[in-house]
Parts: sequence; C-alpha cells; structure tokens
Amino acid sequence: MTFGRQLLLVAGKELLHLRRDPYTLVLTVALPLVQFLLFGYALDTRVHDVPTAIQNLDGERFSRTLVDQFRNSAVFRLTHRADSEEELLGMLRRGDVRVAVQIPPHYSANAFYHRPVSVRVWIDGSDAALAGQAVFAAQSIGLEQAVSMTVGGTPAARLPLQLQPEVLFNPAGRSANYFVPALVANLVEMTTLLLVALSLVKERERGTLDQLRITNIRLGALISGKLVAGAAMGLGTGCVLTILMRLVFGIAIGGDFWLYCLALLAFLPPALGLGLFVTAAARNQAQALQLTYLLLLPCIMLSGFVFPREAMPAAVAAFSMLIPTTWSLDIMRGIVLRGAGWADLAPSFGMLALLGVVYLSAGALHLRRRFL
Amino acid sequence: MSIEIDGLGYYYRSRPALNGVSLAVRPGGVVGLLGANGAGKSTLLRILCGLLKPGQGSVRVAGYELPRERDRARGSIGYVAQQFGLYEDLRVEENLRFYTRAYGLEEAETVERVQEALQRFDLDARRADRTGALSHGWRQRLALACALAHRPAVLLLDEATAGLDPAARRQVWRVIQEEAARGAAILISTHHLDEAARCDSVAWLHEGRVAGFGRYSDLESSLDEFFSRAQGVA
Repeated sequence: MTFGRQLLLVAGKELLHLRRDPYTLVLTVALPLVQFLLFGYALDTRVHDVPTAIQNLDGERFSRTLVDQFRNSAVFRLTHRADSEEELLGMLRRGDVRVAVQIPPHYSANAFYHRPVSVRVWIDGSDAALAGQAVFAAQSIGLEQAVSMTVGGTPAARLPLQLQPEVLFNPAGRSANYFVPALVANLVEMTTLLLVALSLVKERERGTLDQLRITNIRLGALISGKLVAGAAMGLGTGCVLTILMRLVFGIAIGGDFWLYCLALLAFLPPALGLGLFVTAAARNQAQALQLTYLLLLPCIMLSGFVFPREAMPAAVAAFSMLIPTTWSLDIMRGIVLRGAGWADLAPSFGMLALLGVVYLSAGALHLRRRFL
Repeated sequence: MSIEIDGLGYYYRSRPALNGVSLAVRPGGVVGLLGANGAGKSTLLRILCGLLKPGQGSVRVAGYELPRERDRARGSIGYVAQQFGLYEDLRVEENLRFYTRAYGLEEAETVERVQEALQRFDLDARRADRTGALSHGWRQRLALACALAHRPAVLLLDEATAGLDPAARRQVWRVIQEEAARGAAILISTHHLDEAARCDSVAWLHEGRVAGFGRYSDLESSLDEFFSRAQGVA
C-alpha cells in the first residue's frame, strides 16, 4: 500500500469518527465559529456610547452647545443629569456612568466675554483603556469649543475654555488595578465551574455513578455534595488570589472587606449552575472540557474583562447581561477600585442572585432529567 | 420471594431489550442468567438495581416495588457491575469505608464492617494500597466487598467472574455460597457454563425473552442444541 493510500485510509477513518459522533463535530465547529464571531463582530477596541452624566450649572446657550457636543459625540452617551456634585460622583462610584461632566455657573457669560472658564470632567479610571479614550475625546470637545470661541483672536491668546479631565479610582491608569480584581472574580468562577463540570462526568466514566445511585445517597444529596465541594474550592481559590492581589500586586480593597467576602460567595451559584449544565450534557471529560471552554469564552470576551462593554453592539451588550462574569466584574471593580458600598452594588448583586437561581434550577432539572 | 419479575419489558428507543420476562428468586436462592452478548442480561440487572425504569410489567426487589419504592429498596441491594465502580485514586480501605457509609451504616458499625470485609476478602495487607494499582482480581474482590459490606438482602452480579483466574473465581463462588447461606437472593449473569451449573436454577435469555428456566442439568441438552444451531448460523 502506498503512503498516499495509507494516509487516505486514516483520514477517511477520522472523518467517519467525526460523522458518527455529532456531538464532538458540533463542538469542533462551534468553538472556532464562536471565536470568529466574537472577534469579528462583538469585540471592538474603539470606545463608544460611554454612559455620561452632566450637571449644567449654567443652562444658557453656550453651555447647551457644549452639552450638545457631548451628546453628538460617538464616544459619550448622555444617560443622566445631576443636580449636585455629590450626585455626579455617586453615579460614578455606583458604576451608573463612567464619565461625569460639570459645567460651572456663568459659563455662557464668561465664554461670551472671552473670560477663561473651566469645565470639570471626572472619568472612571477602573477601566484604563476606556478612561484613556474618554479623556482624549473630552479634550477634543473642549478644544473644538475653545477654538470656536477664539476665532478672530490672536495666535498667542490663551484658550478661554479649559476642560479639566480628572481620572478617578485608578489615576495612574495601572493595568494591574484593572485586570487583577477582575481576574479574581473570573478565576473563582472558572475553578468552580470546571470542578462541577468534571465531577459527575468523571463518576460516569469510572462507573462509580451507577454504584452511587444504588446506595442510600439520594441524587439531590449527590449533586449538593458535589456543589459544596466545588464551591469550597472556588472560595479557597478566591481567598488565595485575594491575598496575592494585596501582597504581590499591592492592590488594596478600597471598599468594605465583608462586602468583598459576600461578593466571593455571590460569584459561586451561577458558576455552579453552569457546571451542572455541562456535567449533564457531556458524555466524557473531554467533552466537558470543550463545553466549559465554550462557556468561558464569552465570559472572558463579553463580560467587560478585556474589552469595554460600551464598545459592543447593543445586542451583544444585552446578551452579556446573561453572563455572570459581567456582574461579578462590576462588583469586584466596584468594591476594590471605586470603594463602592452595598447600596451602590445592590443591582449587580441582585442580578448575580437571579442568574444563580435560574442557572442552578435549570442545571439541576437538566441533570435530573438525564439521570432519572 | 426476594426478586419477583412479571412480564417485564424494556425498550432501547424502539428496539425491545427485554420482552415479557418473568422470573423469581427466593431468599437464599442463586439464579444464573445465561445468554449471548446483547441478550438483555445487564439491562435486567440494571432494572433490578433501579438504574433503569421498566417499560412494562412489574418488578419487586426485597419486597419493594420498582421504580415506585426505589429509594426504600436501595439499602437492600448489593450490585457488582462489569466496570466494578471503584474510586481508583482512593485506597482500598477508603473505598470500603465510603461505600459502607453510603449505604447508611453508622460510624461504629462501619468500622466493624470494614474490618470484617478486609479480613473476609484477604484485603487486610492491601488496605493502604491505591485501588488503581490493584490487579483485576484484587479489584474484583474489593468491588464484592463494597457491595456486601451492608449485608444486602439481594445481590446482583453482572459477569462478576469475567477475566478472573480459576482461583479467584473459586473464591467469588465461595462468597456467593456464603451469602446464599446467610439468606441473600442472588442473581448472577455469566458466560461460564460451569458457573451456571453451580446455580440453583438458570434463566436462559435470548433476544430479551426467557428462552428457558430451570436447573442447569435439565436445560443442558436444549442449551447444547441452541449452541449448535448458533454455530451453524455463524
């Protein structure tokens, strides 16, 4: 038999394996397809539609023009109006907005008489990439407005409008501050999901699942036991990573420590639920790993972990609300970087709890149907 | 009767795996299940364990109707599957302890039963060995020890002696006879005719039906005829 014939024989057999195992075939096709769509469509490094709040203490024509410039900018999306500086900063701390603009009183009058005016712009620095682009866009708006005001003036004249961007929470724009707290959340979820995903599949492969099912251990206790072990490991991972975050990266928890502990606990239920889905669906450990990877990919790409959600198409951003990591990251960055409290983060905790209940119930039901 | 099966049917998709099977095993009785691969022996045992739901007919194990009273029947069944179902990363004693506890025995009783099982199956010297490192024969002993630690009323063995050397097989049969003497009802599937001859009675399964039931000596001639016919077809 020639080499070519041998090669064709083996290749034909491999394709036959894939055809006979549609599950693996779907996963083999689905994984690159999801990656392809994620990178090609959903992910965009250009920031746009950044939620922005404005407090206009002037309210006259020139200030309205400035507001319109922010409104017409592709980078900013005016979502809130504030009546006080505290309210503006509160919105930033809660994560309702990423940018807050304060136009001072008499802005229009001063601009009209070419008197210098300054506009304060606070930018959430917990996402360094977003903050950088927002600073640049805000400065461009300020520059454009200033040029309009000075048309006809001398080249040496000082620009009458000073737009003062101030990056809060991570003023140095340090990447570690942005990624490390998010990584803690992500790894806690990943560890938990993976352990649960592999647990029952492993039992099934070894033949111990049948043996367990004829003992006095009920299916509910079996699943709960595995969930508790997975949760304990996930929590342990979270504790170790928190210590490393402080000692190695020098990132302190800006908010309440006990709220941080509660957050670590809150990350677990949705991950456990997704793990149950995987362990019920997979026939063997290799499939469980592939499925886990398929789930983790959007968790990393669409949650705001690397790419700002503000830069995603509306449909993708809406889908990302179903990803637990989206809320975990918001909570983690909120507590660690912005010093946000319970009241600020209650909606994100609520969403995590809701996803936890839904995924756990659906996962348990799926598993029950599979085994009973 | 410890095992009562009446008109049992089971379908894999639309293909009948079991069709109108009726069988009974009394306490202390040993019934052998004979049949070619795919005849339905493992399916029948899995239904008796409560792992599969019967498609039709009725099944009672240790006085409990399956699948309705499956949870109550659990503690009365001992099952050794072809795959053994042992945790290979656990040590011998750890496997025994885990399964004994899983059958609902209290701690003090567990300690006693584990010690008893280790001695009964000559596993004492290997109690600290990793199960994955044991030979097939030793793993088989451990699987049997785990299935018997809670002293079940019904023992179901799915080709429990497959791949064992004659000495190991003899030991398995010694245990089966001891358990029968204790009063356990035993149903064992096997491909070995000499083992079938050791059973009180034998059920010959063919294409999901009981093609013959009785003492092995009474069935021997019809089995010979069946084998000759099967060989002729092959």
